[in-house]
Amino acid sequence: MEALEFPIRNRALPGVRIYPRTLLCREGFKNIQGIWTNDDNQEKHENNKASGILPEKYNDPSVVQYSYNSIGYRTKEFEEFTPGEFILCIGCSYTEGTGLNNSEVWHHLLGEHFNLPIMNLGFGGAGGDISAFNTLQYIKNKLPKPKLVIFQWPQTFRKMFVAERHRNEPFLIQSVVPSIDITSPNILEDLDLQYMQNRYIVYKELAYVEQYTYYMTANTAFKAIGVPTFNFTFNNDSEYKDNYLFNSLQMKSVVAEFGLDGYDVTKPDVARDGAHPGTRHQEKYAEVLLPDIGEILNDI
Amino acid sequence: MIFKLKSNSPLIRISHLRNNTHEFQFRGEKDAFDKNRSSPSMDPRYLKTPLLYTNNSLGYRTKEFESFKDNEFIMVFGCSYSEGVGLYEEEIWHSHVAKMAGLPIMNMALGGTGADIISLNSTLYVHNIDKLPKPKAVIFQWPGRARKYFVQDSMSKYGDSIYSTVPAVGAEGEVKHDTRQMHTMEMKLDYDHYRERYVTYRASLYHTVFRDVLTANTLFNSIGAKTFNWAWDADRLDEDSDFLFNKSDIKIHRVRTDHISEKDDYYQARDMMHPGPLVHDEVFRQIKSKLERVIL
Repeated sequence: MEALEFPIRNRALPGVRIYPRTLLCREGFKNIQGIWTNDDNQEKHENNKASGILPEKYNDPSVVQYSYNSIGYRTKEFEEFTPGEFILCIGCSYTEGTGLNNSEVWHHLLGEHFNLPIMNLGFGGAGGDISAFNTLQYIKNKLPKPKLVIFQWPQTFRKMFVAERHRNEPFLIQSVVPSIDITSPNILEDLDLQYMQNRYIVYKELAYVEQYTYYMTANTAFKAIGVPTFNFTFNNDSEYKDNYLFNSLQMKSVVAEFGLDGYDVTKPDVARDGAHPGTRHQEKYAEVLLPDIGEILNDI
Repeated sequence: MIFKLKSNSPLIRISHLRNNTHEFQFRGEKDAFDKNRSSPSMDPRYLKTPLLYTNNSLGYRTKEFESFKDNEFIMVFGCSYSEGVGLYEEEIWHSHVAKMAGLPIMNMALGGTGADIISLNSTLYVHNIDKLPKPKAVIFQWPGRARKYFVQDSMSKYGDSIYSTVPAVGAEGEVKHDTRQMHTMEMKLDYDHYRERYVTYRASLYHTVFRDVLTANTLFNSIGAKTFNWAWDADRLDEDSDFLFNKSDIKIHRVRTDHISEKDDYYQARDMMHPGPLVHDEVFRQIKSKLERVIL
């Protein structure tokens, strides 16, 4: 059995809590209005600036602004959306738009083209499990019905665990992201991380089946209330490409790194956080997705 | 228990039970019957009239799905209790529901499964609702909260095989499981994490079960089917401490049958491992009035 090529990292989600009657609450992002977030902070920025990987425009960090709603999503309050007149986007940091202005992210460009506002439920560090859970809570709690839902499916092997806290209070969650390095501050997380490292990313069929169920749950839930869905994933997140279950699903693969014309490798097109694709990539993603989204909207 | 998940099948398949009429649903049931047939506690009816199971083309103890009509049947999910292991069909608790409502039952219950399989099958059913009949109402009998499925790479050549753990988890969460069944490395790793983490530090367990109950109810409600939830009190495992369930608006009705004496007639099913007709009658008695409000 071959494990993934990279070790795993415990991706602590700042104070994310599960409540029974709403979406996952991102306590660490609630009502943020400003330049920094927990994921894209000043210290990181200074380091990135010093390493020279950032485009010049980010010398002034205030060119990127964040605005989060009262439960920590980078969007307006949910009740401000008019039913049937917006596109809902669910995904990870690539959808949240970490390191970018909301107006620069791929979905905003699509929204501008089709003259529809975007509800951004992008969730940095999330895997398919979080997307599916939030979808169910969205529908169960009768939040405004979107015209269309776009799912950007994150890396296959992400998995959330729930931290043991005092009983009878909202649980904290953490999502394990296969990526950089491993830290295990307590026995509980250590058990989860060992499981991820020795089992989940080595014997992969369980993860494939789980991802299949998340996809099916999320799509079926919106289909059941009459809302069309569109699914895509970035090609570097498609570890399931050879899995027969996923081959049966409607999932567009979008190339994450485009090798843009005139691309200067010494000045990569990165977002302000130095870890996500920059504005030119976002334009390309929107361009690639536009025909599919247009076709669905025309059919409605 | 082993189940198959295939992209070309509308629901999970139980391959070895497909299109079959047989006397025993699984090997252990036959062993138990052989061992207990001369016991004085054995209900003599099971010795006189053979108990035969008839399973449909996907392996469920019910008619072919296409033979049900939209909004004219009640669907039941659950574990072996609702599948009716060791019972004639007319002895299972939901046969009383069928009489009360004047509607047939589609029995989707599968022995050895937990909330996760119910959630997955609910998802697949609603996903394929264009091809399958729509139930008027769905009743979920939620199994022991600690049950959980896993998937093995080595068994997944021709469609993913899901194996569901049926650990005996005591009231304090202690696990009594036959580790001799751990054939492969991934099974051993699953079991270790399950025992040392999942049922010991239970926050992930709470969330998983909550998500499964939420999934099944939300999806069927979304297509206009009413839902009703119940569970045996003995299957509650620590539910009183479960913040999510306590604050949720999805209520699971608790059924207690521990006041029934083991010495009463019809206390045990033929396999003498599952509750008998007397206990199933009591289940119906306790849920009847609440159920009436949902279904009728």
